[in-house]
This record gives sequence, C-alpha cells and structure tokens, in this order.
Amino acid sequence: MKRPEIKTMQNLESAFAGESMAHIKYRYFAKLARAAGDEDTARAFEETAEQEVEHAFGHLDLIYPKAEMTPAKCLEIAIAGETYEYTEMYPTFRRAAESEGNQAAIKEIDEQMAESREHAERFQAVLAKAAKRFAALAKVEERHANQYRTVLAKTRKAAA
Amino acid sequence: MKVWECIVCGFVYDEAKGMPEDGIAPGTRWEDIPEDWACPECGVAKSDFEMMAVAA
Repeated sequence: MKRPEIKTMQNLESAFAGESMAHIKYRYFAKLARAAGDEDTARAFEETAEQEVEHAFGHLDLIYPKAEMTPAKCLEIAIAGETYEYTEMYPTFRRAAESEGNQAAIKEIDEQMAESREHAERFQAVLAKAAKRFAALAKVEERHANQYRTVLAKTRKAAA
Repeated sequence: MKVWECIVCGFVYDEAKGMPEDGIAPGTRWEDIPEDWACPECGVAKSDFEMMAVAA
C-alpha cells in the first residue's frame, strides 16, 4: 500500500515559513514606525516579533528533532540551502529582473503606458535595484556556503 | 568627504567618520579600505556599495 503523503510535515514547513516572515516583517515595520516617530507602535511590533521567533523554534523542533541533529548535519543542511541560493535562486531572479527591466523599457518606447510617467520610472527603478541586489546576494550566499564548508571540515576532523 | 551606501541593506560608510571599531580610522577614503572588507550589517562585498550623491 502506498504510504499516504503526510500533510502535517508540509504544514510545519509552511508554519515555520509564516512565523519567520512575520518576525522579520514586524522588525521591519518597527523600523518604519520608529523612523516616523511612533515609538509605541515600534515597540509593539518588536515585542510580538520576539514571540514569533519562539513559535518558529517550536516548529523547527519538530522539523529538525534535536536527537537527529549534529553540528555536522546542521552545517550540511545550511550549505545546501546557501548553495541553492547562489547557484540557482538568485541568478534566476537576477535574469528575470534584468529581462523584465529591458521589456519595460521597450514597452515604454513602443506604446503609451497606462500609468503615469512617474509610476513607470519607479517600476523600472525597482527592477534595476532588484537585479543589482540579487547579484550582490548571490555573492554573499556563496561566501556563507564556503564559510560553512570550512567549519564543517573542521567539525568532521575534530570528530574523527 | 564621500559617503558610500550598501545596495542591499542601506548601511552607510561615511569617509569622515570611518569605522574605528573595525580598525578604519576617521577620514579613511573608500579606495583605501581593503577590497576584502564586507558590509558589517549584511555581509555583501565592498564592490556592492554605491557612492551616494550628497546634497549640495
């Protein structure tokens, strides 16, 4: 009999992603509120952000059970993640942003854009900035992966 | 004195201020910072900084 797909493991991954995003989003909103002079709102966001971390740790405890995780295993998983980002994800995103930027430029010449000139220029600026950031991030994620590889080699040597 | 901004996280390096805690004296020009220096906030490379236009 074929083993049924376990929804709950997927749900745990989704829940972990959601809590992680909430945590960082709230820290970003706290920054925005503070910059706008609203210290109360900033603190409210920061307090809940801290709790979202604990929620996320709860999900991670089930996704990566302590009993199964060694430092070497953690490093292997981290290396895989960073490597995916700098070899596939960011290069793909960068090409898309550059391509869309080029297409938007061509469209602007060929036809009248529905939005105002200002919107069109702002959109172009977002695409250009995104492309640059994806390129920069691919480089730093590669550095992370290599740092983890170095630490993993040391960890394995120490365990041998 | 010039100001350089990290294109990913917005961290600002001000030549006039330097980064004494990183061993970079105030007044150190961008060109004189080692090429392997990275953004202290987000880790991106020195080459991923842009010079900011300073208001006149």
